[in-house]
This record gives sequence, structure tokens and C-alpha cells, in this order.
Amino acid sequence: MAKPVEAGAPVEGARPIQQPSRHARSPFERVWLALSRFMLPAFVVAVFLAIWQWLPPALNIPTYELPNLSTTLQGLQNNWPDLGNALLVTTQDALAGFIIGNALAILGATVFAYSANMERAFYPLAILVQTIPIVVYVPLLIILFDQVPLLANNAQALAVVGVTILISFFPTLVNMTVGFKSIDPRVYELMRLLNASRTQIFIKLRFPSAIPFLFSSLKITSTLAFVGAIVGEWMANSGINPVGSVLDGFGVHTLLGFPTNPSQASGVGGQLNLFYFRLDKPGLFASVVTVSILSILFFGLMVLLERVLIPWQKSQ
Amino acid sequence: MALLEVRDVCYIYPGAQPVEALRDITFEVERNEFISVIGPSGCGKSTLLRLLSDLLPIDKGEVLIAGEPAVVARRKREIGFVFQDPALMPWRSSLKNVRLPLEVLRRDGASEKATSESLLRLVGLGDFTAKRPDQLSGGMRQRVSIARALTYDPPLLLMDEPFGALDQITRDEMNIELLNIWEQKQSTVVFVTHSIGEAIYLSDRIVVLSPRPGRIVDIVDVPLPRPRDPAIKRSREFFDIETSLLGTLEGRRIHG
Ligand SMILES: Nc1ncnc2c1ncn2[C@@H]1O[C@H](COP(=O)(O)OP(=O)(O)OP(=O)(O)O)[C@@H](O)[C@H]1O
Ligand SMILES: [Mg+2]
Repeated sequence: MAKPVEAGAPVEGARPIQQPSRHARSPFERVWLALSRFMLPAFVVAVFLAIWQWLPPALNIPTYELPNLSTTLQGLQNNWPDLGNALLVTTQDALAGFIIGNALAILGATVFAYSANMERAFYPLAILVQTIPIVVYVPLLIILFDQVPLLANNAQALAVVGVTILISFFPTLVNMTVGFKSIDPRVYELMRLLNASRTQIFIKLRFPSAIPFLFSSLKITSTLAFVGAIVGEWMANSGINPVGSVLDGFGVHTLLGFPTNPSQASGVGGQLNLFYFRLDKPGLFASVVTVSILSILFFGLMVLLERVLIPWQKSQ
Repeated sequence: MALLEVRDVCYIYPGAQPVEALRDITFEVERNEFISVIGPSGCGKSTLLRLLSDLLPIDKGEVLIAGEPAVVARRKREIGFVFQDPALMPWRSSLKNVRLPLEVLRRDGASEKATSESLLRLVGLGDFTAKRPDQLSGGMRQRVSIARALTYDPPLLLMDEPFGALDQITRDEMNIELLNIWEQKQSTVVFVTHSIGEAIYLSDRIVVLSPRPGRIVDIVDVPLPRPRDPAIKRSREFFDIETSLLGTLEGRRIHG
């Protein structure tokens, strides 16, 4: 009997998999497509910057009241060494909290993956804590650290890092707990058929399945870490009285007439405070712009890492 | 002794409204036999395979593989399973997906690596070892999952509608390949399908199940010679078996 198909012969043909395209694009179209990806948003930003530069003077608003682009750049130059140091401090606060918080969260979710009882005990609380705006814990942490002799000297700086840790911890804990469970049930059954150990299932199946969840959380917490660091610094450095500082952070401080002494400003948050009380609006604007750029860059880094590390997830 | 013995197996899915899926299933599968299970949707075919492989605990009755309970056979990695969907790990290349069982069994030496590669060649994917599942077609993915089930040489191979999602042309080609592999590997296969033609073309015997709860209506012999040419599907004998099976499925016994 003749065999029409040899064993091992590629049945479907060895065609490379191609993206379907409706029609072939001309070189011009392709260049335009690539350029427009970057050029169009860049154009929008340029228009925004131009409006920012020309509109206030055109409306006769003095630039010391509402700084425009060039005044802001001036403010950046005038405050440079201080602002640069502040950015460094903030980046350190944010990064430390981001790394420690996420690492602890992955560890915590791993514990949950191994112990259903631990998960039942703590996971609902983690979800509850997620609904709290965690930055309000800065004064509480300061009071707490003040009671620990070893930490008392650095209570404020530690409170800032503490809050960035907390702010990074909870989203990742929740995401990773879900991620470790988001496994293909068929592949899980396959692992059971192979009599795989719990640890093999964790390493070979649960962990890789959770990586996309980890990245969506890293993207969120990369931004949150900066929010935590800046607001934390703002609160921690706005006065002697931490409770007053919180009120100050929400702008209530001046209304109530609490004494303020924002002399030793630390981080961009502290710097913002300082500029605010000095009425140095160009400095204030410069801080806001630089910290925005920093935060966007950090977020962009996460997006890039995601693209490189999980290429099989093309969407999003 | 038969490789697989199924005796008086019943299964009821527990719950607020228990579902009786299988009732009094008894049959045997000889070593190196290719047996198919057909029956209407929801009659308990997948449930049966899950009971045979100890993915579901047996309520009542007995499943023996090489004389030992299914749990023991599973622990000894004597069962291979091909699911309806390929169930590959999207982050692994074809080769690494195929090698997964060997990694889990800590048999990941150089010779095993060569085995995985030759299995991929066997299913016609020799040039696609480095591709990830998202870079393969549906039929190719299913072939990767078949190669994966063969890596650790399980004496018993269970296949749950492995080609159900494929078009007729690809499906026919996969059937030819499967028979080639089966003849080369000398394994025992329990193959679930919706397709009567597929069951006849592939099998030595066919177990016909009734609608839910699934009971064995008949076990039909397929006395067609091997190796089987696809042209056999247009033969008189094939047509007769098909007609008789259709009758059985409709509840009318034409003969026997
Ligand atoms: N996990 C479950 N819990 C409760 N009932 C279930 C469960 N899985 C299947 N069933 C029920 O058991 C019966 C048999 O299901 P099974 O999946 O074995 O059918 P099947 O023959 O494989 O069907 P198909 O051909 O559509 O795949 C069905 O009626 C289904 O509703
Ligand atoms: Mg099924």
C-alpha cells in the first residue's frame, strides 16, 4: 500500500508565518507610518509647549505669577544644584520603596501560593488596604519610628521610604496572588500526570504564568512609588509638627496658621514645599516638570522590559 | 493480561445538583491496541479519560493499568494525555514544550534532548523547534502537544478529541501521521472522538457510549487490514462498519 505522506514530512508546508496585510505598503507609506508613531505625539507636545510659552504673556499674565516655558527653564537653572540633589533623593526614595515593596510582595504571594491558610488569613486584608490612600500613613510612620531608639534620628526619611514600600507592596501582592493562580488548567493537569512536585509546578508553571501580571503591577507601582516618595517628602518636611504637616500637605496649614519651618528640604517633595512658601513659582514649576519627566522615564523602562521579557504577550 | 482493565466504573459529579456522568463502564484494552470511544456530546467521554488517568478520583468501580490502580500508574508516569486544546506553555519554544515532561522527570540529559528533537521531526516540525506557540498554526501546536505526550514513552496514551478543532484536510493528515507514530512507537491508545470516520480509520475496536449518563451501548470490532491507506475510507467494508455504527448511535441495532 502506498503511503501518501511520509512520517516526518511537513504536512502543512514550511511556509513562514506572516502577518496578514491587506495590501503591500509602498516604502513611502512605511516610512510615514513609522515616523507618524513618534512625530504625531511629538507634534502635540510641541504645540502644548508653544502655547505654554506664548499664551500667558499674550494674556498679560506676569510670568512670575504664572511661569511660562522659558521662565520655568530659568527656574530650573537658578535652582539647579539643589533641585538636582532633590531629584536624586526622590529617585532613591522611590526606587528603594519600589524594589523592596515589590520583592516583599512577590515573596508574600509565594507564601500564599504555598499556604492556603496564610492566603485566607491575609489576602482579604491586603485587598482592603489597597483601598486606603497610603500616603496618609506618613505621619503615623514618623510617630512610630520616633519611638524606636535606633530609627528616631531618621524617622522622617524612613517614613518616606516606608510609605513607598507600602504603596508598591499591596498592588503587587494582589496581582501576583491572582497571577500565580492564572494557570492553564490543562497544563496544570499535565503537570499532575507527570507527578510534578509542588515546587516544580510553582517554578515551571505558576511563576511564568504570573509574569504578565507582575509587569502590569510594575507599571502601576513604578508611578505610585514616585507619588509616594514626593507626597511623603512633602508631608515629612513641611514642619515640626507631623500632624500639622499633613494638614499642610492638603493646603489647610496656612489657613489654620500652624507654624512652619521648611528649612531643610529633602527630596522633590520637600523642595516643592520650600518653593511654595518662598513663592518661587518658576522653581515650583521646574520641580514639577523634572519629576514628571523622571516618572515617565521610569514607567517607560517598565514598558520596555515587558516588551523584551514577555514577547509572547503581544497585546496591551 | 490486558494493559487497561475498566470494571464497573460509575461517576457522579458532586454538587447541589449531582450529575451522573457514567454508569457501569466495563471494557479492556490489550497492549498495543488502538481503541476509540465515541458518543454524543456530554455523554462522559472526557470524564472517562480523566478517570482512567487519575485526574478524577474513582467513585465506584476499578481502573487497572498493567494490573495496578490508576493512581499508581500515574505516579509511575505510565500515562500520556493529549488534550483537545494543545495546552502548551506560551513562553516556551516547541522544543522546550516537548522537553517539559523530561525536565519534570529530571531526565534532561543530551540523549533526551535528541529524543525531543527527533519526536518533533516525527510530527513534521523539525524546522520549527525554536518557534513559540504563538508563531505556529493550530495544527502545528497540536502536533507539538502530541510530541510532548510521547517524550517519556508512556505505555498508555489517552487522547481527548485531539483533532477536534482542526479542519477536515488537516485532520485527515494528522490521522495518517498518528497511525505512523503509533506503529513506530508500539503504544496503546485510547482515543476519544466525535467523528465516526476518524474512529473507524484509526481503531482496532470502538467503544460506543449512550447519551448521559454514559453507558456502553456496544463495542465494535474494526477488522480492516493494517497498515491502512486513506483510500480504505472509500471501501465497502469501511462503509458497512460506518452504517452499523450510525445505527448503533441512533439506538437501532442493525446487526449483532
Ligand atoms: N466539573 C464538572 N462538574 C459537574 N458536571 C460536569 C463537570 N464536567 C462535566 N460535567 C457533566 O458531565 C457530563 C459529561 O461530561 P464530559 O465532559 O465527560 O462529556 P463529553 O462526552 O466529553 O462531551 P464532549 O463530547 O462535548 O466533550 C456532562 O453532562 C457535563 O455536564
Ligand atoms: Mg469532552
